[in-house]
Order: sequence, then structure tokens, then C-alpha cells
Amino acid sequence: MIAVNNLTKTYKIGKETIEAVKGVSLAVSKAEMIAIVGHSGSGKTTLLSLIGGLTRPEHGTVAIGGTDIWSISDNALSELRNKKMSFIFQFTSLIPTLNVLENVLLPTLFGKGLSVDYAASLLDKVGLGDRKGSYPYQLSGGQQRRVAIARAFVNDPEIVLADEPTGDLDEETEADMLSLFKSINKEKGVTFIIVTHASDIARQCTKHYVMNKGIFGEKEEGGRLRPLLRPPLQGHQCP
Amino acid sequence: MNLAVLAGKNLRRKLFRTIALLLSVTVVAGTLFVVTTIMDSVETSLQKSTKRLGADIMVVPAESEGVARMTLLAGKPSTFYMDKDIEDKVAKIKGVKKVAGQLFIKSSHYRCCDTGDLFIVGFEPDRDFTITPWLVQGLKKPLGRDEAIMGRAISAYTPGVTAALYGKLFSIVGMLEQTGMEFIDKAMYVTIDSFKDMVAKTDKGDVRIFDNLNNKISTVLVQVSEEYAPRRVAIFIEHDIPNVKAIVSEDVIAAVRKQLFALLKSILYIIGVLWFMSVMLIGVVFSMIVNERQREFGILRAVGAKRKDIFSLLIYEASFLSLSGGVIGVALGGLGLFIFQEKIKALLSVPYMWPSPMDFVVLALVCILISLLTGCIAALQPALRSMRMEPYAQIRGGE
Amino acid sequence: MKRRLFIVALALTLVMGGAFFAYAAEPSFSGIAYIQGHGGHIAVVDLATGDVARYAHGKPSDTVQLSKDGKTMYVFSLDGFAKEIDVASGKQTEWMKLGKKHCGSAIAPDGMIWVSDMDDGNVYVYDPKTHKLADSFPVSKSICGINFSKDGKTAYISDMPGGFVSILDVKTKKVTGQIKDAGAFIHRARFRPGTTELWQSDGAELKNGEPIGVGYADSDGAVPGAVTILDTTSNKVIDRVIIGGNPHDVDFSKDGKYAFVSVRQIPEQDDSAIVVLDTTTKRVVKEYSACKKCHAAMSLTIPKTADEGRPFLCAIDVNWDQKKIPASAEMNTSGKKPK
Repeated sequence: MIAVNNLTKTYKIGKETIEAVKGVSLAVSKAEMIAIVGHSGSGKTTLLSLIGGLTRPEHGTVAIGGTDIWSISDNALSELRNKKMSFIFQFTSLIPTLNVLENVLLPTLFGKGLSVDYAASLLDKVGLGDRKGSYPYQLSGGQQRRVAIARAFVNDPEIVLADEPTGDLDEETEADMLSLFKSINKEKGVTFIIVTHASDIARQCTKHYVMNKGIFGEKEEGGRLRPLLRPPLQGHQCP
Repeated sequence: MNLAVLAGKNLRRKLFRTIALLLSVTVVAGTLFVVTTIMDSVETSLQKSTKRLGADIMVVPAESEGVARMTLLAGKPSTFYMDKDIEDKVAKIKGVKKVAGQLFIKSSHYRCCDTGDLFIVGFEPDRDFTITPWLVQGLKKPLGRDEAIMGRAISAYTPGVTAALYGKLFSIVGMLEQTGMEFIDKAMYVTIDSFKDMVAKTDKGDVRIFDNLNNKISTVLVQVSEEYAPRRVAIFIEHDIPNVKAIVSEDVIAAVRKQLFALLKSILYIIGVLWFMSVMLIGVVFSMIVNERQREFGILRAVGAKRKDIFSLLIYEASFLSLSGGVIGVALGGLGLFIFQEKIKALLSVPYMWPSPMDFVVLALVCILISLLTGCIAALQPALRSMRMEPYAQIRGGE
Repeated sequence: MKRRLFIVALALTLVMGGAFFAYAAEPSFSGIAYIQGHGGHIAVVDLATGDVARYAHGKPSDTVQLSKDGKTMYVFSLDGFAKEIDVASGKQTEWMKLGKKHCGSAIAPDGMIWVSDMDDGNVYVYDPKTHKLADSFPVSKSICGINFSKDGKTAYISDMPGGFVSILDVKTKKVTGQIKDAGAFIHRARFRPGTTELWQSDGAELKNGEPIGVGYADSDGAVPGAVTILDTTSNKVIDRVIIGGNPHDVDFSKDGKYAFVSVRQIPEQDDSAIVVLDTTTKRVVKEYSACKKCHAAMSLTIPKTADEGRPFLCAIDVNWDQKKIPASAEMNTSGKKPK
């Protein structure tokens, strides 16, 4: 489903060049739900953006369903994002001028259209069915996060790239959201790549990987990181 | 929901900023509309005046050139006299096709006696080509010695009514079209021969008003042959006939046009500066908007927006803003013109008239179009910049 | 043998030396040249002595026209006015409005004076009898030189920036043809007496094809000023004589053997001059200072605002029957500024 091969991404901040992602390779099968764990600044978000086609790597390839996403046109890539993928960002990602329902329907503005009823049902699932007409500023951080989660499923994606999806949520809601992810994962065969620094979320995934200073790998005994180079390793099987 | 709705919602987000930008376009569009409408009106007015005059050249006494020009332009009646034989002399000049003499009497000359405040124009019906074509209804027979034609502004004397001038009775047999020029609209037209009757009548009375008017004429109106330029014929006239001035109608227009348009052009330059400032202002604000909303654009790209969608969104916002500014500006400008039309007429010293409805619509549309372009041009660079940015860089930029 | 060689050498030396002296010896002339200046005065040059005097009239002008009897000068100014100056008394008429910006003039066969206008491209016909404007008609865009054919039926009018000469039917006053490529930036012209050659002054105020302002033709990539010779039989350019500076007008000796070219900005001299050409060899044989000589004597300085402080002359008209500078002309050899 997703094949990441030898990805490298660097940034320049002033005169300093920072390697955010260093030679990462990874294979994710359809309907897998994997977690990438790591500290802040370890390169998790950058990796997710590279997989989602939001930024271009210096080296390496990302193939989705056998298509190298950097070999297609920008318009085709936008369509791919609109039809097959969705993102849950770690920050507030709602458009302030749109109400809750309109925010959920946002992806339909650029292509794939699903009904308002479907969007409303998703809001019901995240527990905000009664806040359809509210504006982001009228919602708490957690509620805004839940709207973003509902939006992530409105285009019926094949892949969900979630960056700290439960960051602002209380424990109970976090559990609800994870169970929602799991049920969608099971029922619709949606592939999830979840970036988190919460190990309890990682444990609930089918596999989890660790990232540190741009290096991707699995954790060795004794806490050291063993880099994952080609061919991609299978990761830890979750209990 | 579509991009246009999203753009509209975005504009409402920062209402004060939107209104400020809108106002800048309103000022430009409004002033541009007012100035161009006035320019068009002046042009129309001048052209109508000369068309109404119907003559290519107006021959007047050399010393009366100034007042004659004022009569032509401002429509104010004035009197001046020269020998009547000048008319025949002018007729013989190379390039002259038709001549028609006219004799003017100023109302103040006869205030004591008769009908009221009228400007009397004596003309020769058999030679005339400037008055009779403008009759509302054509005359059934040539104008008689006891008959008169009235200007449109003298509503008290309609055809069928009799008017007395210096003891002589005239029956009104026709009315002219409205022209907006006082010396035509507020005049009474009689044959030059009728003057002789009036002179005879007053000679018998106590007041000898027409002492010097026998064998006099105020102006000779000239129509030029097609193969000659009016300017050239005017030179021939001035060269061959001493002490006359041949005023070329199109030169009068050209001179006034030059004078008035110089003033209006300077206003247009100011509008140009205002327009440039408006473009800069909108450009700077949209540049700020792009910076402020980088993450928003990143999110839109993440949910599937193409580059052109981001570009369109910003252009929509700028277009709505400038279009509204343009429409409001044109509406306010039009209202201002309507309210102050009398003052504008007085200020410009021309028989100011509104442009034709078609011209009016075209001017309004052009001003609105320019306003629309203002926003589009201003937002072009920021829109292109935001369109070209990588989504992840936009998302990070908003962090 | 040696003796023969010596005689041949001596003969050759004498012939070559004679030729050199014949070439080097300046021709002498007798006549009075009237040259219009930008400073609001006409320079009067005695071609026998080189003395310069002036008639001040007050308006920057390009053209001056002597009446056929040489008694009157007609001045047509750069702001479109006309004035008459009586040569003998120096008496001047008031300025009369004619056109917009006059450049050249010529006496027509009917005695009228045709005056060109470089602003509107019209010819204004001045009637010297009535002192009035008698006619006006369009020719081309920006006209200057006017000349009439010997039979008086055809007029040749130069278009300055256009670089062509319009051919007009004098009777109908309509353009009937054109002589192209007459120069880069042409001014006044004159028929060489007894020929159909029209000598056209070409100021060539162009640099790399663009106008470079008034009256300059420096060596830095500019086209040098010249006189273009047009044949009015074939209506073609037959020769081009490079003079340098900024030629503005041509007049001829009565026999047509010498051309008198009025030239602004003579190379390496901050002066305007009459450059005399031998019309056969087409070589410069003499020069007369037309401005500085008089300016120096009168302590005249040109303000920087006028033509960058340089003396600019324009039209030339020579009276070959006059032998002395008229007494009415202003002349100062004392070095004091005239009152």
C-alpha cells in the first residue's frame, strides 16, 4: 500500500542545515495501523508530511498503491490527497470562518463530494452532533480536534495520516477516538499511520516504530535505536 | 459551499480591514467616474453646441471676438454689430458654401417697452441653415414679416399666441428644440426684415432705439464647401475682409476642450496616483493576509486544494472587495453628480448636459472594470506567492 | 640628361606647388549674409571682411527671409509669429500671429511667403502686401525647408524627422510625391543655381537612431551632419557631403560654384559658422564665424537655459548685391555690452 524508500529531508534554518529525516525506509500494508513514536523534533511530523506529499524529499521515494507520488503532477497529487488520503494535524486545523459542519465538509469543496448527512453522522460519532453550526472559536481545543478527526473521514480515505491525533483530548475522549480509528480501520480497511509520543497509543497499533533525530528504526533492548535501512523491517508486532 | 462563498466569508472575518480597502477603491472609482463623466459631458455639450450652431465659421466684428466666443460657449446672449455688406463679401470668399446673417438685440435695449426679457435674433429665412432645421415642427410656409419662432425655454409663448415687440405684433408659428444654450433657448427669432418694421414703428414714437441698426448685422454664419477645411476658409475671410474675425467652430471647441481637459487631466493624474496607492495598499494588505493565513492555505492544500484553487480564492477575495468598492464608488459619484449638477454647470461655464445613457452606462462599466482590475492586480503577486509555496512549508510557517 | 631631369623635376614641383597653392588659397566673396539666430537676433556677416553685426528682434526664431529687392527681412518665430524689419532703417513691425512653430520660409512665385510649421506640419501663407495670413494647408508632420522649382509649378518641402521631401503642386497645394532618404533629421534646403540639384541640409541630430536633442552631432556614435544632394529630375539622392556639426541651411553664390552652409556646433569650436563648400570638388574651402565673433565683441553670453549656453544659428539668406553691412545693424567693436 505504502512503500517509503530511503527518504531524506533537510531544512535550512539560517546557515544551519538540519536533517529532519535521514534515509528512512518503511512498508505499510493495506489496513495496517502503525504508530511512529518519538520525542519532539525527532522528525515524525516531517516524515508524515513526506508520505502525504506535502513536502518534497531530497532523496528517496514514496509510493502509494504502486504510484510514486513525486513522479505525478502537482494537480494529480492534490487529487490523490483529496480522494485517497486525509490528515489529522497536531495543531488546530479548522478554518475559522467556517462552522463545524462546513469545516468537516471542506475536502468536498475540492472534489470528492459526500453528503451533508454523512458529515453530520461523522460529527455524531465524534460527539459533536449538536455543534454543527458552531464556529471554531466557540469550541474548546479538544472539540476542535474532534471536528478535525471527523473531517479526516469525510472523503472516505484509504489512508489516514494522523499527527498526535489525541493531543488535546482527555483520557476518556482519547479512548473513544482510538476506538473510532480502530473500528474504521477494521470496517473499511483504512490504513492509519499515527505519529505520537504516547506509548499507550502506540501499543494499540498493529506495529510501532521509533524515530530519533531523523533516524527511523526499531528499539533494541537496552533502549538503543537500531536504524531501519533497506529492506524495510516489519516492526514490532503489538501484543 | 464553493470557493466564492469561502472568499466572501474570509472578507467578513476582518470587517474593518475589508471596509478600509473597499473605501480606497470607492474613492478611486467614484472620482474616476465623476471626472470621466464630466469630461464626456463637456465633450457632448461642446459638440452639441457647435452642431446646434450649424455653422463651420462664425464671422464677427474683430473687436467682439471675445464676447462672441463666450456666446458660443456659455450660451450667454450678447450683442455686436458690423456692416451688412460683409455678408455678401463673405459669400464671395473661396470655399464658402452658404452664408446666413443674424442680427441680435439684447433684452436690456428694449426693457422699457414690451413683452419681457427676451433676446431677439433677426435672421434671413431664405438663406438660413441654422435655425429652421431645429424647429420642433417644420413650418408650412416661409416665415413672414409678422411671424416669429420661439426658443424652447420661453414657455409663455407657444405657437398660436401673439407677442408684441416695439408695438409690432408677431404671431408665434414655431418652436425650436431644447438645446441647453441660453442664447438659443431664451431667444425669439424673427426675420431681419421685421426689424425694419420695428425701426419704422419706433422712429414714429418717442424712443429711437434702433438708430444704428439699419444695414447692420451681428454675425455671418458660414457653411464651408466640403473640399475646404473651415480653418483655411477662415484665413481667406480674415485676409480678404478687414476688421472681421472668423471664428472656426471646431477651434472654439478645441480651445475649450484643451483648457478644460488640462484641468480635468490633472485630476486624472491625481486619480492615477490614488489608484496606484490603492493597488499598493491592497497589495500590502493581501501580502499580510497571505502571511497570516499560510497555515490555512496549507490545510486547504492538505485536504485536496490545487495550486489554482489557492490562487482563485485570493483573487476572488480581492475581486469581491474591489468590485464592491467600484460599484459603491460609481453609485456615490453618480449621486454626487446628480446633486451638484447645477454647480458643475456654473463652474465649467458650458451648457453642461448629461452624457447619453449609453455613454453613461459604458463609463460606469469601465470604472467598475478598472476597480475590479485594481484588486486583481494588487492581489496577483501575493496570490502567486501563496500558490507556489509548498503545503508543508505553509503549515510550518503558520506555527 | 641630368639637365633634362632637373627641368622635369622643376616643372613637376611648380605644377604641384601651384596646384597646392591654388587649393589652399581661400576664395574671396562680396556680399552680406543674413543668418537667423536662436537668441532673438539676426547675424549679419560681411562675406568680404568676415565682420559680424546684428539685428535684435526679440523672439527665438529659425527662419529669416529677404525680400527680392533685399530691402525687407521677414522673420518667422519659433512661437508662430511674423515680423518685418526694414533693412535700411532697422524699423520693425509688431509681431503678428501666424502659426505655431515656424521653421523655414520661401517666396512663392505669386509673391506670397510660404512659412513652414514644424509643430502642425502646415504651410502658412503670409501676404507681405496686406501683412496678413492668406492661407494655410497641411503638408506632412513636421516640416521645415521650402523651395520652388524654377518654373514655379512645384514646391519641395522637407519633413525634418521624417527625412523626406514632399513634392507639392503649387496651384492645388496638394502633395503629389515624395523624395525619400533625404537625411536623418533634415532642415532647410536650396536649389543650386542653374541646376535641378536640391541641396538639403541634414542636421542629423540622431544617435543610434534616436533624437539626441537640439543641434548636437558629436562623434560618439552620432551620424555626422551633412548636406544631401537630391536630383529633382529623378527625385533621387545623388550625393551626400559630410560637413560635421549640425548643418541647418544652404545658400549659393550667384554662379552656383560655392555653397554657403550655416552650421551649428562646428566640431571642436563652440561656435556656429558659415561653412563654404566648393560645389564641384565638394570640399570645404572657407569658414566664417557667425556668432562668437559678434558675441565676443558685444560681451554677450548665452544663458545655460537656452540651448545649453551654445550659440545656435539657423536659416541663411545672402544678398550678393549688397556690399556693406547696413548702417542700421548693431555693431560693436568696443567690447562693451550694447545698451
